[in-house]
Amino acid sequence: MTNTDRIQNVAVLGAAGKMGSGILYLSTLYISQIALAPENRNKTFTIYAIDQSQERLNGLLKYTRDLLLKWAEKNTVWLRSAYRERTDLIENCEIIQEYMENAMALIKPTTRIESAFESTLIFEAVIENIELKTHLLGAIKKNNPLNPWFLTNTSSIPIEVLNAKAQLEGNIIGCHFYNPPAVQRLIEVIELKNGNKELVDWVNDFGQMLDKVMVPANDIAGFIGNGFFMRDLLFGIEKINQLQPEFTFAESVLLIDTLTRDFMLRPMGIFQLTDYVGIDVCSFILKVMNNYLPEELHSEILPELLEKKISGGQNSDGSQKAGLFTYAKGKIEMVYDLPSGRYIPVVEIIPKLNTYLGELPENLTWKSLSGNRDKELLIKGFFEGMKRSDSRGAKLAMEYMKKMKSIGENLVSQGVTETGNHVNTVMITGFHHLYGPINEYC
Amino acid sequence: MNRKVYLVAGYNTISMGTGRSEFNPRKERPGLEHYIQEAGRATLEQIGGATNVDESVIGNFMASRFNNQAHLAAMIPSIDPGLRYKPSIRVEGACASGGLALMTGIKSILAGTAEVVLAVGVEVQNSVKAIYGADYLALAGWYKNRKNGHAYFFPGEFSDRAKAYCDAYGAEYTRKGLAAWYKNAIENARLCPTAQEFENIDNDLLATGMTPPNGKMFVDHLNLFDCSKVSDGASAIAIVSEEGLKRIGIPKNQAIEVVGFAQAEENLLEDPFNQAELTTTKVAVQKALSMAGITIDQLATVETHDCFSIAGILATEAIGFAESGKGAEFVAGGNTARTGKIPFNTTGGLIGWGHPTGATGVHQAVTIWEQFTNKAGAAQLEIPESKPFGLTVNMGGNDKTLVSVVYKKQ
Repeated sequence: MTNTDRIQNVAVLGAAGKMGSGILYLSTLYISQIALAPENRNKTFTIYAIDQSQERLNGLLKYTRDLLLKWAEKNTVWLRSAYRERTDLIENCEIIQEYMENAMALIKPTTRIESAFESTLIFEAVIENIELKTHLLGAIKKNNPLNPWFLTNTSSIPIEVLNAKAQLEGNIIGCHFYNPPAVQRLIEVIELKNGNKELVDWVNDFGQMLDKVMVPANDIAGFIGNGFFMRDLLFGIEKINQLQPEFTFAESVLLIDTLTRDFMLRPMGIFQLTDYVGIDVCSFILKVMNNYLPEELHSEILPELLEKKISGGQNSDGSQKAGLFTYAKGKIEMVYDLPSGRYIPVVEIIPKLNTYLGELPENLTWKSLSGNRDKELLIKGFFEGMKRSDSRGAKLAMEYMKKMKSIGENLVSQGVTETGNHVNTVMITGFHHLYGPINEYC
Repeated sequence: MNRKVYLVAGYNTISMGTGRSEFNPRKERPGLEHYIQEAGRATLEQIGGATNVDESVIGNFMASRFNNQAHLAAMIPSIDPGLRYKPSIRVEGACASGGLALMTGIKSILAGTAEVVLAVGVEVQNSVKAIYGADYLALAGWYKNRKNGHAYFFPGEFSDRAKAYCDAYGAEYTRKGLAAWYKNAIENARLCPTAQEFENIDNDLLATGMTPPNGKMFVDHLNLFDCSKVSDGASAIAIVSEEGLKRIGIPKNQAIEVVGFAQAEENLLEDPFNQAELTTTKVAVQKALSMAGITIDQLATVETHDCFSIAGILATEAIGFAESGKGAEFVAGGNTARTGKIPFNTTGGLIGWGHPTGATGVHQAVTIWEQFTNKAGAAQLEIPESKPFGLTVNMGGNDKTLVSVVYKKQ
């Protein structure tokens, strides 16, 4: 079977979910471009968008159409060349419209898992639940005579576990997209030991065509991204505990979040990131990692928050749900105080935190630096200033930076990845940090 | 000329679009009529109102597609009830529509059919995304060339000119000239509050101008900074005779005199003879200078049609300031800067001030009028007595419709 044959019938499981919708868009983008090649003009391509919710599938088509249209409008130079021989298509608007009709016609939304029984390539993006994943993948494997390839978007479950439980005979690979997949360039590729090598090559071609940054990770729970993020989060929680009783719970959360954002020049603090990902999702990932790793990766705080219905994550319109913080126009407005069970306006806390943390070495922010041509030089100067500073904020930030460096180095020594560069690439590309954790700044 | 012709009472709206902090593509914005009325009323106010106007002319390129609106001559009376039932005409010559509005007004004065003509130029282009606007603007080329043309048709056409220039004189050499043109345009725009790039805060314009072109997303030989932006705007000015000046009560020293003009048309169906030369521009400028009886050494300033920075470089050669292939060096050497040998585009030109296509020709005249009547604010040049002349070059399409005018300070 050629690669083109392989993508003539594709299924995306969980297609209407947060990650699945992005994966559906990317696979449509990929296949629609291949379908335009002269040798493929007479072939039929189908992408089953499978999800249990018909209502969400209805919204999915609009989401996909909007993204494809944006892509088409940005890539009209290429589209004009692809439609060069169509003399009836002259203006950009005609060419874009033709492409959109062709691309959208590839997608067949359905709630029936049976549709995947005739697919040769399966993207899996259902919720992070081992039983559900193995049940679905196993059912497809059992009922599909075409020996399909599976690509799972799991961010934490070892691929070998899915392979063994669903009896996939090595035809599975971890293809961990970052949220939202349509925008985020990073894909962590987790190859199965003794798995299908053709599948590895295919994934790399797929990523390359979509201009993604592919980082290989070994099959160890959490991989690189969550392997780092979860330990970063646990260290943040450890610091909260250490700051009490000098600070209340709410004050400690805001202090560490401010420290990790402003003193470490990150796009958001560690607890805002936790809200963004979802406290429930973080808690689940930690459980999975804890199951498969010898290290104790646990926090009492996350389940306690969930018990009080403090879960974070996003609403269907992309807005942020309340979690450790509440947000107004994307900015933190209030912070949750676990012991008292109420939200406290951050304006009441900030003066105390500022007094404690002290001044930044220079008035630089992630935002001001991210588009700056002299970014590297400025970051270096910022942290040199921080090393010299006696402020408590600077000292705490340096301690945090050292811990981050050791987390990164441990990912290499534990065999999650072959090199520190991969760790840095994941944190810079997937988490939008300005610098990698393995650095000379601390 | 059998009569003297003056331009007076100019006005430019803001050139609205990306770069202006007021611009938000997601919010409803003023329409075509708003810009026509703002510019028209501002000129009428300076000349004693609509009763003093004999006729009007409006230059516009593509409102029929950008704004679903044709018949713009009938929008003129919306400026002021006093213009109702008076003659009004709409002219179109692609991006030289504004220049054609001036030509039409000048000819009315010379014909003696009017003493005061209100000339307006307008374009509102941010009604659609640039990729669709490119289709509309492509209509300034021959429609049979559209299929094989670039997605961004005119950037593609001028990218071919940049390629020809690079091939003939060297890519690095050319790029340095283009980057210097960009730097000059933005620095001048920062001096003019109505300019689209007035708020540009880039602290290394030369480095920005040196950005390598990306043919995958745009065109092969020009970067985005080499291109004028998508703009909404209007300009207006009064074209008057000596009697007209008396009627509106404005002294001559507040006006500029038209001492030479030329309009030249090239065959739309043919490709340029020489991609590395603006041949029609050269013809039009020589005619206008010859009619004025002056040499380029007597020019204090030039407003040229830099829809793309390569057009700016080529214009320095077409006008005669630099020999063929020496334009890039002439610009990179600072000769076209406001402190240079011959200041070009003193409020930013099309790249810096903006390019509301149908308005540009009128905007150029307003800029010369401001400079020669000491109304240019922070952008004001010192005009030497030995050089009382200014030149404008307004181009439609790929060097197809040309309007060039020589003005004299009074």
